Amino acid sequence: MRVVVAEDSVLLREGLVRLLAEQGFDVVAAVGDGEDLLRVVGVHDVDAAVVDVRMPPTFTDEGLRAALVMRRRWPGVGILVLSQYVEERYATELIADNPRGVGYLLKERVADVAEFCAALRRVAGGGTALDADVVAQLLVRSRHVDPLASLTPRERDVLRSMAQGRSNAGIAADLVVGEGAVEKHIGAIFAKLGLSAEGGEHRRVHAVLTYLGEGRA
Amino acid sequence: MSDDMLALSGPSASVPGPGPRLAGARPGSGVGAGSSGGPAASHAHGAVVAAVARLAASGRDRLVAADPGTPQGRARLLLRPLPWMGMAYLSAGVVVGVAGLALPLLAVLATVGLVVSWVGVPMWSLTVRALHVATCGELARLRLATGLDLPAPHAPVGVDRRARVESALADPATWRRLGFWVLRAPIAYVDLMLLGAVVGVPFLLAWASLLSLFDHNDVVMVGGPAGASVWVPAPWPVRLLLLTVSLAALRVVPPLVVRPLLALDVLVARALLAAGEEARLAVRVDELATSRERAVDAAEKERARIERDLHDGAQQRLVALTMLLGRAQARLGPTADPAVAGLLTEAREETTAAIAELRDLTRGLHPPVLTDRGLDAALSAVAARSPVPVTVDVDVDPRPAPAIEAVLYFAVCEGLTNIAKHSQARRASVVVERVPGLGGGCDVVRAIVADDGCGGANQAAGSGLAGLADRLAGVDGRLALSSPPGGPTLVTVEVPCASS
Repeated sequence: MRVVVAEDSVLLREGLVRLLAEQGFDVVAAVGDGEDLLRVVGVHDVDAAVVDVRMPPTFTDEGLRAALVMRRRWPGVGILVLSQYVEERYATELIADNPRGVGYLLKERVADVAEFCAALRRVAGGGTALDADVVAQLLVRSRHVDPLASLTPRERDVLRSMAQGRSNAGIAADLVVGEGAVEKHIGAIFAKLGLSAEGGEHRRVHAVLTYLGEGRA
Repeated sequence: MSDDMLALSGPSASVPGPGPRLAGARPGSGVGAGSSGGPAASHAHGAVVAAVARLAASGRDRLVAADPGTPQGRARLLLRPLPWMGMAYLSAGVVVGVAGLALPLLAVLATVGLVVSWVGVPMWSLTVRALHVATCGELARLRLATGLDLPAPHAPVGVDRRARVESALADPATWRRLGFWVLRAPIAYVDLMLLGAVVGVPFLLAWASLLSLFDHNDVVMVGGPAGASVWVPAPWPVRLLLLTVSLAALRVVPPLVVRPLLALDVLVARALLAAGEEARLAVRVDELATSRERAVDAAEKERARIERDLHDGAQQRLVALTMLLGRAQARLGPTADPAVAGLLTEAREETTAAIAELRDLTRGLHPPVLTDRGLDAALSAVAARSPVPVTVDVDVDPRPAPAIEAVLYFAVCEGLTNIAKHSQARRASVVVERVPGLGGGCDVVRAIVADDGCGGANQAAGSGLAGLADRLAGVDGRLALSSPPGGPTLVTVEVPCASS
């Protein structure tokens, strides 16, 4: 899989490149700011980009803005955004109304190499990968606090994992239950929240994230 | 030693003589010591500096000089140099006073002009301008004579001539100053007469006694046939005595008289001429408000800088470290020594914990999302991490200044921390809103943190709320706490902000 790395710290950039190379990814380019990223993606044919939020020149949210530009111009390229802080506001902006092919993780999650690479592959394939911290914030922030309260603890766990972008198999592995049980829980969740459960896994993640993002001022 | 010495560096010189000194440099120390030419040159340099300083100081008769009540003070009076500056000032006063009478005269004419026609406005404008110049000049003259720095009035304010005249006429200070200029001439005349008497009489006597030493008549003509005739006693030891006494009087008495006269002048100037206490205080308040704002801003910038340094430094390194550990773990195959795998796992866990701690620390200093996205985003993030469910409702468009946002953010954080630690509440809410100012006053941003817990919170010293109150004071903010035992608790923070 062909990926681009955008990270302004040389230390971390090198680390990411080596890590990805060791795990079998083809790192096409490694750049240090948003403009270079856009240029590289325009030139090369990449499947995904790993992007740091804080980059030159202003060191605030360059990565995020570059990611939004990429989503408009090259919707087929998956974007995994890394940051030392994850904030619900950035996640909402990144997802906008389409969580397809988008990820937002704390930088230190990279150390769990298997998980990180799985997330990157998922994002490249059009799925979602949201950090658990961000999902927790989303759950709290949503105006639909009461219907969420009607979920059982198990269902909340399933919901949380779904919002992170996990597949049914992934959720089953996380919660140490069978996939059938996961399907049942998902059905119950969608019924309680009044959402339609049809469509593939991506569609359902989309529905959940949209639901959680609703009602914001 | 007089305590209004300005010691540059090194010990101040114990130069004999009363009155203030400027640079009291002991030869060899102080400015220029050791700079060039070796010890001899610096000795000479120091001596020159001291001599110049003494010369400059000797002409002034500072009103804060030694008190004649003490023996030391009395001795100093005898040694004190004649107050030339003071005497020159008092002598010139009459001339200035007579010239200054033009100002009230001009004012009267201008008032007549106003009544008659529009020509009064430019006349008054001229009067106001001339008054300002004359006042500043007189205060400068007074400063030269006494060293006292009375605050000068500010220039006439107003967008155009008419506004300037209006504001000047409305200001009572203008009328006080005109009153001063009415009084200046008579007071100066009295000063001059007294000074003349005090200097002239001993001088006349001294001159007469001197002449009488060479002349055996009883009556001495001073200054030719048209001058005064002074009767001097016959025996010439007495004449010598008279000479000595009058010379001594000439030396000692003028300073005694000059000082009270100057004091009177200063009193009148303070009352009528200088800018009033209110104006001075107003200027000072402005200065203090500006400097405080700068201090608060500087503190906030410093915190932001530390956060950035931590982010780019220590946090970055820890993330790189944890990546290395992860890569190492990934390379361990299934046949690896389980002890090694275990150690690596532990190492990664410790590193992750360190990263999380640093992150909490920097959030406590200066959360980046606050600067980037504002109070809504930052407070949502805080609420999400609160163990007690919190609803957040923020509406502060347009965004307040960064320093104010920071104070509000930390106020709400403090409130939520207290809720988590002490309140045993089941739910909490945060509301931040902008309350428009009344009648053109500036807006107030209000943050209310409420919970349904057990209440009983107080602003005891050492609690977070006390520290918060201090920080609020820096931005003119206020804290109100309502927390009856049994709850509910309401913490209200209000910060005024200039509408941006």
